Amino acid sequence: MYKVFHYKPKFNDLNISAENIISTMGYSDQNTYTGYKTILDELINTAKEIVTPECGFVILSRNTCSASHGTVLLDGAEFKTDKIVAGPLKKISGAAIFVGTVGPGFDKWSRKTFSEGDPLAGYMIDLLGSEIAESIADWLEKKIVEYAAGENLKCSNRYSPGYCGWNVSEQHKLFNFFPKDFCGVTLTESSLMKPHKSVSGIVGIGPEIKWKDYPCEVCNVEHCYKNRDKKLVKV
Amino acid sequence: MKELLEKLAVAIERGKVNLASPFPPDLKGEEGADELTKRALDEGVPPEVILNDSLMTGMRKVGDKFEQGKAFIPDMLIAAKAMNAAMVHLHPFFESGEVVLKGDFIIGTVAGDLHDIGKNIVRMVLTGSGWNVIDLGSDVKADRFVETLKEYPNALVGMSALLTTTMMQMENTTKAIKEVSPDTKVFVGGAPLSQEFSDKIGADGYFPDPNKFAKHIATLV
Repeated sequence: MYKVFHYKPKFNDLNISAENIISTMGYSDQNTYTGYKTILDELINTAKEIVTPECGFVILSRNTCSASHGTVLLDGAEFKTDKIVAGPLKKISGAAIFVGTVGPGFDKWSRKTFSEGDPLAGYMIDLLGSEIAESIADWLEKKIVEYAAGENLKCSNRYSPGYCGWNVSEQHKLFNFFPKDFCGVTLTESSLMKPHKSVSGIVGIGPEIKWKDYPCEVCNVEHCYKNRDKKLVKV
Repeated sequence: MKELLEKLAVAIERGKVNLASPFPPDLKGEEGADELTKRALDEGVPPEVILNDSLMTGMRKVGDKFEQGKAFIPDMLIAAKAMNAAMVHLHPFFESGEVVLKGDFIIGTVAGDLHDIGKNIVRMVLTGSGWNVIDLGSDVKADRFVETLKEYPNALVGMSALLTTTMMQMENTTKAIKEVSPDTKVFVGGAPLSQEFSDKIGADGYFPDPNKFAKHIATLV
């Protein structure tokens, strides 16, 4: 019914760097984190063998979507997103609903490292997983923009349930658009994605829609990667 | 003896686990918490003195730096790892009752939630602060907290959640605990939470910072 695009990007295409993760951990002074960078570089090398990136999106065609007053309508399904998401999607006409994952091996690696009594590596692996998942979403967003450009359409920024005032419970409705077990990602009753390090969301598409930066200044979620990106310290 | 205890406190604070540990780079090749604790015991230093004057001092110092924004979670974790290496040597003294811990603390991530990094960090900080931590893991239902409380009736309880969908489980769990044990202190933590939420569900406090939390519950002993 919907156009479906499915990819398996290579790890080396994802531009994973230890510096972003170090910044997420809070460090900006090179003297304090030298030892941690060595550990992270080793973990990134191990991750290359464990991560199996997979991602994709479905296209909701033109004139099936609209947004107003904190609500987004996607092919008849109503999403209560709050204004932070509905505002920039006001000129939405179609949409790409996307999901991406680092793959099932990552969760096992993270759990095993913690259970073996190495909490520092376990913590870094967790941050690394989030970084890889977001990089997969960045990679996929470019594919969505390429698709839209081919149709002479423009794209919004990407928005995910659980962020920007959009309740994570709405993720179930979003997953209804995907073929069964799309990219191997499933949802628990409490809207937790499995594998754990996965990203899902929407990119608005339309002839007049504009890409707008995340309005982090009006959001009160302190520990958010989107906010993190704004605070990135050059290292 | 004083010099040895100070060296051990530094090993904890800096996260020098043992002789073989390459971290931190400037202490490479030096003895770590493992060897120094064993040496202190061999030299006849009472285990309680090692715990209070070295291990907890080291943890407190890194915790204070964390509060001041001069240290970060990895520094707390590496210190906790060094602490664990030292605790292996002290464990027999806890079992025999020669060294008494501050109390029991039951911790878990609530039902439906599998995020356990934050919970694990709190567990380590509390262990390093001298608590006997009973970790129930993740996806813990209310009745499991209640059952464990029967086994450790004087324990404090801590719950963690990372999702707005699962934080609501905290209300059921707090109610279930308070029904059977109204005086039990229940604390909550997790990214989407706030003190306002803690008050609303009848919990006894929300703490975003594990070190401040450890300091707070130390006042309850």
